[in-house]
Amino acid sequence: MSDASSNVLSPDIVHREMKQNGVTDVVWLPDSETNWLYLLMKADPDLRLVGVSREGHACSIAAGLSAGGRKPIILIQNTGMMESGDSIRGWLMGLDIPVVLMVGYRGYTRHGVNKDTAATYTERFINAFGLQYYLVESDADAPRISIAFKEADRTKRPVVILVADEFHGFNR
Amino acid sequence: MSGGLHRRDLVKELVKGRDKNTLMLSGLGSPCWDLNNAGDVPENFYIWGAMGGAAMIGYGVARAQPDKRVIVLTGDGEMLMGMGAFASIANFPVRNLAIVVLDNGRFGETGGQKTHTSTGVTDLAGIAKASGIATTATITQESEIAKLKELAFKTPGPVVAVAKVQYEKLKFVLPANSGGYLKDRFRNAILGVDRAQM
Repeated sequence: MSDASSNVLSPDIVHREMKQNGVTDVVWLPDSETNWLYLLMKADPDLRLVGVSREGHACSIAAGLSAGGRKPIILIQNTGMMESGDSIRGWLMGLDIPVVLMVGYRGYTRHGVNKDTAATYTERFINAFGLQYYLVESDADAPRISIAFKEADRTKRPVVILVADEFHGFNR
Repeated sequence: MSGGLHRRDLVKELVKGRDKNTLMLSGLGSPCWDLNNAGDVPENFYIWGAMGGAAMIGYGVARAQPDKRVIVLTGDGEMLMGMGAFASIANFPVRNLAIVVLDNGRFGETGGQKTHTSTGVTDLAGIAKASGIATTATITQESEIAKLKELAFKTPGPVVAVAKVQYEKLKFVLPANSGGYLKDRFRNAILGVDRAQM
């Protein structure tokens, strides 16, 4: 992509994808990579947000919301996803929860040399759990968000979207 | 410090107060065996696939089902693993949630090792209160069981009630062990089969 604007992931487009896929609740912990998205969701009166104190709890609440008939999304950072390992296993996978985890990919650099172990282990971690994941770097990748939702619904499993916008968060 | 209450009798007494609008969730280990022993119904959600999340799963259900009363039965070991739950629940409160901690001061499933509540130094109801939970209580005697039922079923939430129970080695009364099955059964019961399958 040569056009500079196409290299950016627009919060509005991500938000629109979430709405199109029926998200009702956002369970989140602050994340430097996706804070821009959080601010947009906070302004949306149709979305119910609940903050947690550790990311494993986001998995627990999402499991409860889903069991109760809502459609949550989890918004966390890759560091927190790794902290949540047993909650992903026991709750999201163990209870067959069809949920999308939108995960800020801290340390991601498309072309540069990785200097952040958070990035080093992110995809290895997801692969260890056998979860499907999609990398979303720019607006051109946004349709992958809907693919992730459909896959979660079809498989009754958690699916990860790695928000790998290297111009936000720690890499800004 | 373990109190004098017998957990199985306590849970049996507690479930007498339920109706179809009462959803009961139990955390890993003894709370699951206690609830199953008291009577298995589809409105029971035994969440024993991992540890530390019962209160938060119950909270999620409570947010999704505001017209139902949601009661979480958990233990001191599990609650100590997830104390941040109190702060999250207090900051985004729901009126239909009660968390009952069956506190025997032990990790019952792993050999009865003492937990941090066993010495009396750590007070889970106090932590819940300091976190901003609207109503908290500690129950130690049989004469307070009626109060516990009132807290669990009637008092506007969020409620955290700690029941000091004895450390007892009791027979396991295991529910089904498929998390997916238990969740689907629970969803069918509260949403109806058609909506549950969406």
